[in-house]
Amino acid sequence: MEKIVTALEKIVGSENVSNAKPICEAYVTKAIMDISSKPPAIVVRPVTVEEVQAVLKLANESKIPVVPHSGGLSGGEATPTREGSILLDLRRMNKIIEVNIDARYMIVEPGVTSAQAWRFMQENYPNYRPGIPDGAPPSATIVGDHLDRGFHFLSTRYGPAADAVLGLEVVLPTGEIVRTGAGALPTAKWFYRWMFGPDLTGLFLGSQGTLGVVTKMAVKIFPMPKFRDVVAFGASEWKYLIEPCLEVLKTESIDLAQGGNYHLATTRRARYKWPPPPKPNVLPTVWMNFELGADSIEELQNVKNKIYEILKKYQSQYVWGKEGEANLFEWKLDVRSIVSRLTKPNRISVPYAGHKGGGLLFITWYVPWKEADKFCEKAEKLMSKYRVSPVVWLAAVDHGRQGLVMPIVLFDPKSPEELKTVEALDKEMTEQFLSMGGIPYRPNLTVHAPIAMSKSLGYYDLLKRIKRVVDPNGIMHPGRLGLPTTEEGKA
Amino acid sequence: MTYLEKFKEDAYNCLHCRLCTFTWMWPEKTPALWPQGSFQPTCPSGEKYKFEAYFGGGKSWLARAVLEGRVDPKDPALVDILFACPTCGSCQQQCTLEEPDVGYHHRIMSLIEALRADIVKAGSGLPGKQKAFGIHIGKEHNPYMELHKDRLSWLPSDIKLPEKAETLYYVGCTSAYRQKELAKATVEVIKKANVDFTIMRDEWCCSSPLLRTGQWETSWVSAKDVAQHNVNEAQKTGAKTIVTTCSGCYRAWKKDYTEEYKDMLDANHNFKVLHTTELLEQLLKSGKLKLKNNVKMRVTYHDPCHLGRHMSVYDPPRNLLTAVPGVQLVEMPRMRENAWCCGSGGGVKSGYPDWAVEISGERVKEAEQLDVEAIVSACPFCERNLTDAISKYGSKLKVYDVVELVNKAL
Repeated sequence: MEKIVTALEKIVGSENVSNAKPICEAYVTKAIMDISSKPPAIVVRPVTVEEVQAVLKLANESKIPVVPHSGGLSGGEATPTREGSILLDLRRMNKIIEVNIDARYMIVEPGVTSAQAWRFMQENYPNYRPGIPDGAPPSATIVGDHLDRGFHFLSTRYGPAADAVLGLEVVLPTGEIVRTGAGALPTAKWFYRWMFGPDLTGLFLGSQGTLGVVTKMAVKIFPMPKFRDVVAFGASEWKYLIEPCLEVLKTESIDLAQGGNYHLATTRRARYKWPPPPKPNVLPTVWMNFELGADSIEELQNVKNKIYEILKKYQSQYVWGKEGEANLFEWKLDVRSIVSRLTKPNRISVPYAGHKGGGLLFITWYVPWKEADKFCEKAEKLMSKYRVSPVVWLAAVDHGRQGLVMPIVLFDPKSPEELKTVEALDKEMTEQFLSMGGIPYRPNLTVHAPIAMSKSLGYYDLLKRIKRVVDPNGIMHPGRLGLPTTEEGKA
Repeated sequence: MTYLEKFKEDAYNCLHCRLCTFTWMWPEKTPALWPQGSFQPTCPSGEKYKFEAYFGGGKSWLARAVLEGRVDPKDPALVDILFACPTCGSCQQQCTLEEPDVGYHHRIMSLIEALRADIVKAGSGLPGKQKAFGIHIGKEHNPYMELHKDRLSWLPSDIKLPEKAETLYYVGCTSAYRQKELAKATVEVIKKANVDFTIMRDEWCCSSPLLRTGQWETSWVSAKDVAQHNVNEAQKTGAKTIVTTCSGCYRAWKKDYTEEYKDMLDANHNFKVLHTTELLEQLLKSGKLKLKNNVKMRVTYHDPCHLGRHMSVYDPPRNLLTAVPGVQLVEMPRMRENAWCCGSGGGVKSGYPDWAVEISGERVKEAEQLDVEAIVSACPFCERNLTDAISKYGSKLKVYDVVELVNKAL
């Protein structure tokens, strides 16, 4: 190991390499998207693509696992799940390389955070905004969120963040540099995701660092509307919410639709209590916010009118709910809530970063929107069965072609029993959601990937074949996506 | 039982969301607009050393590793990680801003100080001159390698103070030995306002340097003995109120003795503790202080960490400055909760003196952008380090304490 450290020091300088145990332990995160993280053996902090190349060549020759890490909190479980890895801390690569407001994209390095990108655009191009995540703190990176096909604040309108990627620069595990999309040609700008042939940009999106290290990414930027507002639906049960929301989403005029159940607002203060607090009168049982943007008041009002029409239509169809609560109604938000909702980066977009328990796991699923109510209800039932507060967040992606169902599991990380409970809940929910037709958003190493991959039709075999070609020694982020590890790489 | 175990819950309360790594202030009055100082670097330690361990979140997860036995407190790599940090509290501030009304604060600062105390107890830590000043506090009751008998040398011979008074001015080591002009100005101002006050004849270090560097209970000095001595001496004066010019002393008297380290120090007291800016603001409001002279100057204000983030005193110094005739106060982008640290606290000035000035240099550059004549603070320790940075980087800025400008106006 000392020889490797010395070789790495020659590549990036001794101040940017450490195998000190305290340095390595500080990169662990047993929360957010995975609770099985292990510390790396060495941390390396490259600043140029040439340094990344040299590190990967060395690791490939020495068959040492490598885990890329940009912001460190992405759902890609950015820290190694295997001990003995090199962690590539990419935060020094934090340059915004280009902004093109005609083709409307920006090219960033992997360490550029949402906060940095937002501030840069506000200061330099205030009429445009980057697609920053609306479900993660602004310490999340642009590359991490887009690479992991995350959810940004315009995902309802434009689809998962990965859909906004227009090209990549990737260092392959064997050290070669590849550019995808139009940027692959040195004479072309990064204006188009496709090159001739298949979508090689897409090959790396969602690969969770298993196929290489992204060193540049071109992502779309979006216009800033002059007028914005929020309309919210409340409902007594999920089943009364989903269909009217779908009709609203089908108008394809909504910037962002997200909501959840009342536990989303109450449990964050409860500190892993069971049973969860009762529903406050001021909150609906479940709700959905529609964030709207337009360039004129009239245009904005037209969208709102359409939403209200749909609301009336369904209200006339639904019978009055039990305990006097209307089955579907407009949840009138106060001005402060609306302004808070629309201010980006959004403080309430990180509702559980402030959860005072330290144990939090998002178990997120892509589902067909029309069936989202069944997934939400199932999640609540399963969580209650395991005596976990049934916190569920729901968002619409690509005008409701997909729904993101995210049960948020809060637990006490000091308790081994609670950790076992979380694992058991995760496993049962995965089995049931897969049988219902859901797709795991960020499949983790131990539960989602093995179960999902074993059921796939040819997909896993093809993925393994691609992995063997691109990463013959299996050094990149071993075990992610259920792909072969270093030892099994040639199997 | 280790010191860290007392803060076990805090170690486990970090999600590792990394919100502690940049300014993230929620603008209470204008929620639609992020203020100018948002999303900027906030952690001097993390910005310098870059590895995750140097940021607040990394330190929290490191604390877990220590608690779970995966990291040995004697590991030499821990020393810089823990001690190369001015404990400015910005990581804790950015973190707790998320849910200020919940009543719980993720005590990252406490974690760091407890870890420091544990590794000092294990025979490690204390870079640079930290141990030397600890030994000196044990012998001569100040960290500046000065003699205790010279502690009152700053006091002009023509000023006679009574043995007993309603208000006690606790001078502090930095004003007594290094920023003597500030001590003199403070006495002048308080006298001009006709406040019945005195000073301690046998004042010792407030113990803040010991508490901040983990020298809690060592073979060479006891923070408890130091704190108890001060409380006993203060009680002899019959004072009801203690006033400090130093923000570090203010925190020690108001928070460490009575709250944060109440059990360990056993030096609880009933004094009302005021920072000079709070006292002077009260005197101004009651009409006992009349600011008459024009002090024509465009200035900016630097929030001392121990006064601002640690104790939430933000408005009194600003109210005083804006009350001084002729003073034009302009704010730096990173102000109040988001203020960039001057770099001298938490033992950094003695442990990493060059880096301390480097941190301060960034603050000086931030002030220079505003085209001001002076940077004003409310802590002699900040004043000293800002002065060092101005000297090192050749800035034309002047440095004042709020009290000095108030004194000019009287």
